[in-house]
Amino acid sequence: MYGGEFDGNAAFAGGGFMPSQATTQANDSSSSLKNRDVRTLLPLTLKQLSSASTNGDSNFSVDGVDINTVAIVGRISRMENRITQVDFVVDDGTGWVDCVRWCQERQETEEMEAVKLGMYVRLHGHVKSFQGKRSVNVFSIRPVTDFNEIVHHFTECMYVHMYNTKLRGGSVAHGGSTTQATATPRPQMPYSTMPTSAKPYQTGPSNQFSNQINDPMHGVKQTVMNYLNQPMHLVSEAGVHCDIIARDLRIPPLQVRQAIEQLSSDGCVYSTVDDTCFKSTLNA
Amino acid sequence: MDTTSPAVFVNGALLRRYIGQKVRAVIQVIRSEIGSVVGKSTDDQQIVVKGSPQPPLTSYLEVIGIAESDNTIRAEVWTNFGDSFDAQNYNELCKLANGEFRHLFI
Repeated sequence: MYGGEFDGNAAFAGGGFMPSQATTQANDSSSSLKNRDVRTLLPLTLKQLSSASTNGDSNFSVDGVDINTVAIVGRISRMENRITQVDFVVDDGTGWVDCVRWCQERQETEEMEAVKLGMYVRLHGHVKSFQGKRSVNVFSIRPVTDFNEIVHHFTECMYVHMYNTKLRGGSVAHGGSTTQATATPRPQMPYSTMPTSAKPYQTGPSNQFSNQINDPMHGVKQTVMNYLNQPMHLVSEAGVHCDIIARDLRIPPLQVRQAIEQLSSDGCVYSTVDDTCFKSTLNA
Repeated sequence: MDTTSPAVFVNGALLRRYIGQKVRAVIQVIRSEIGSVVGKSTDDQQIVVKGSPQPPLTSYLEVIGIAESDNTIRAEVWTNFGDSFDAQNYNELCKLANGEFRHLFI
């Protein structure tokens, strides 16, 4: 069974964790991002929500991103307690939306009891459309106690809007083919860090980093790294003594030590039996 | 409460753009008078807010209401924003919400 080629795409396609390669390549680039997008929590102003485009009863998108779960901060301007649910309206100053919070569990009821008419709240919920009317099915709600959160929320809305329209839009256009977009998916939400270049050297001796041209130690570090990445030094348990590196490379020992120190703090090398013997972290 | 029109984020300078329309502003309370509150907008301009809020008031107060003049708002809704609100951030938000990102707000 395992003798043949292992088809990772087929194996994982049903799991829902890994986007299937076949699917992403067959469709246009926007759908390759879809798998990531449907699981996001998107901060929105209600103006954005009400002007979101729709292609059905429950498919909305803003800035080319599918909306599933949204984060809203606003004031409760109307509220009606019913037996199984609480219906309310949230107004964030840019618009308003009908919300419903189903209360079955005790915890849900308690959460809802903390919320009163006229309060500012932060809520997370699922956007749906029923008979052409948009509403939010709330699964989490809490009163805003630090009002800087309101400013923060709107700032975040602007940031995410800019991210989705400018930064990500740019990368898709630049990538052209879907393969590139698939190979390096851009983080869609602000909580992920921006892609940064890999740590220097770690991927092997042939790597070049343009930003290190100004580093006077760059040449020495690169040479030392190349030396330590040689197979015979990689397999050695004890690593190589600084002075031996200096002798073999014909570099002054002081410079070797400085280079090693920097490489060590960069996580590229580590000391072995004592403070003078070093080994590359490559394949470690 | 009128929920049909947006309430634009304003500071003192932006208030005059929206006379007759619904606005929201955060003020730092200077003094309470009968039927009005005098406060400082987030860009340090004096604003008179007409209406009678429910005491006690915290130092920062958000008002939602109609802009009546360059420096008057007729308040419909008052919300205490506490004593440690960052007015500078709010002021920047007002500028962005009326400038580059206007389309997300109004």
